[in-house]
Amino acid sequence: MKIVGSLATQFAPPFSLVLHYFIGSVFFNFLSILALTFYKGGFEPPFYLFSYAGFVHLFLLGFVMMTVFGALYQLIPVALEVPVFSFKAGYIQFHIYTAGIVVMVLSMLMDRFLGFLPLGGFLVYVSMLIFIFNFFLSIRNLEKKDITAKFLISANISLLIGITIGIFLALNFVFGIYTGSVTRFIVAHLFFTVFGFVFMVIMGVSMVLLPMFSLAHKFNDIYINIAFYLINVAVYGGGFSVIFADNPAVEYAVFLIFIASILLYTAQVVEIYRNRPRRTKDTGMDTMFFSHGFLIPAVISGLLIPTWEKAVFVFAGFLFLGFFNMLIYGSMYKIVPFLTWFHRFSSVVGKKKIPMLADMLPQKLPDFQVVVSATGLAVFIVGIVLSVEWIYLSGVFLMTAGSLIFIYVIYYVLSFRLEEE
Amino acid sequence: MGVTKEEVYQALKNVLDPEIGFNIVDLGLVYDVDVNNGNVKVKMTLSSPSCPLSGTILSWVESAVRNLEGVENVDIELVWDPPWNIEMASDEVKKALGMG
Repeated sequence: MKIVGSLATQFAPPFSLVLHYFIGSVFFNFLSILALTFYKGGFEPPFYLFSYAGFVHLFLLGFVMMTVFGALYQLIPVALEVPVFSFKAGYIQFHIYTAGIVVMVLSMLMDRFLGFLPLGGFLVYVSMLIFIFNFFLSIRNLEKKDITAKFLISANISLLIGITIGIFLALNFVFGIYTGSVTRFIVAHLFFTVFGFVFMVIMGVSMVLLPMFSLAHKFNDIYINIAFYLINVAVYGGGFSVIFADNPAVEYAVFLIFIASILLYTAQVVEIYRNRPRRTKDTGMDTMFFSHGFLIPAVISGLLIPTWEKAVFVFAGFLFLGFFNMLIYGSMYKIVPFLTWFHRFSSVVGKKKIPMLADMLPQKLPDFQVVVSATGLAVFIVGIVLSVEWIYLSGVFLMTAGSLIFIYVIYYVLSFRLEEE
Repeated sequence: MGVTKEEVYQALKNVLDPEIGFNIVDLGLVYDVDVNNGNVKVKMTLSSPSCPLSGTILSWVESAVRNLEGVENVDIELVWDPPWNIEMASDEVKKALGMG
């Protein structure tokens, strides 16, 4: 056979590499949501306490970024049409990263382990450096310069800056290198890692996945192009001005630019959704689209941060447990069945009756899971706003149940076999 | 008697896109088929340049055509211009996807 034309799958990663990250992230999702049980009275200001940082790092590093790294090993060849420089480095990164998360989070949550924070931070730092170097070595011959490529390049530069600030903070908390206020470094760390890396990866990768899953082709992409420039101004301008200017007004101004970029990105997602030809029900795709709805209350609460002290927790709740959580649930419901199908059935096509991708998800359970998790989040937020313990814990209970169902669904997909097997 | 163009199209109708659940002919992914004695050339596209199943689908195309009697050689030309859009699909597919 002679094939003329480029192929996205010729650089596909080993199934087990992506699986390492996804299985890790599924369990960290459960652990991090379960950990919310320990904040019985909900969240109260100030936001930069170690106990809160423990949860935030468990959720963001263990669940969100673990998923992002696994997904990128799968998507870099597909989206950028280049081979990943080293899959072996991906395995090494996974083990160092996982060990680093455990040490770092335990040191943040338990006073007696605080001395281990630099070790945890160092392990996470090294693992992320491996990823960043692997990424830049992978794209050294990149020809494709579309919006996804731009987002991913900027995201990785932002990650490098963000984690360098992070390791400085970890060392400083234990060794006291810097005697001034570190709050501005915490804010800059947040800007570069969450707004810079996580958001930019999501924005870039969404421009590949959402049209691909929904079959949308004819849509205006002006919103995402403007959003790219705005989020870069917000992340780099904001991150550095927070460190060097240390001025709350500047900090809020760049936060507003970030909000504007998020709204434009949301408008782009709506534009793709409106122009999707595929209108039949698809739990994974629908959840990915609808997860962006959580950005609206996140933006509103974000705007209230200067005037309402609990707004930062409501903002984080909608952003982390709403948008990130639901987007990843939806993405997993699309990607994990595909990977499993590809690994298990693609070679027996024509020899046996094989399932369609949609057949690999249990019926109705993913929908139920999404509803339970979303309801849990709404109750959780009410509990935080009203500072009522039983409402807060009811929300956590529902979200934990949702996370357990999510584990079961992923297990169901991974163990899917043909009847005669 | 050698293979005909109609037979090639019929064989390609057995190649399904497992994500969308329809065959590649009804989806409008096959732009042209050229048959010259035992040499078959398929000009086709995919629903997305980033389609993670691209290699797999092309290998299915190759084996579906090669299994036809009288086929000696199969060439697949994967093109992105014109880009695929749903208007290229059959009415049945459009209706099934909720566009009808």
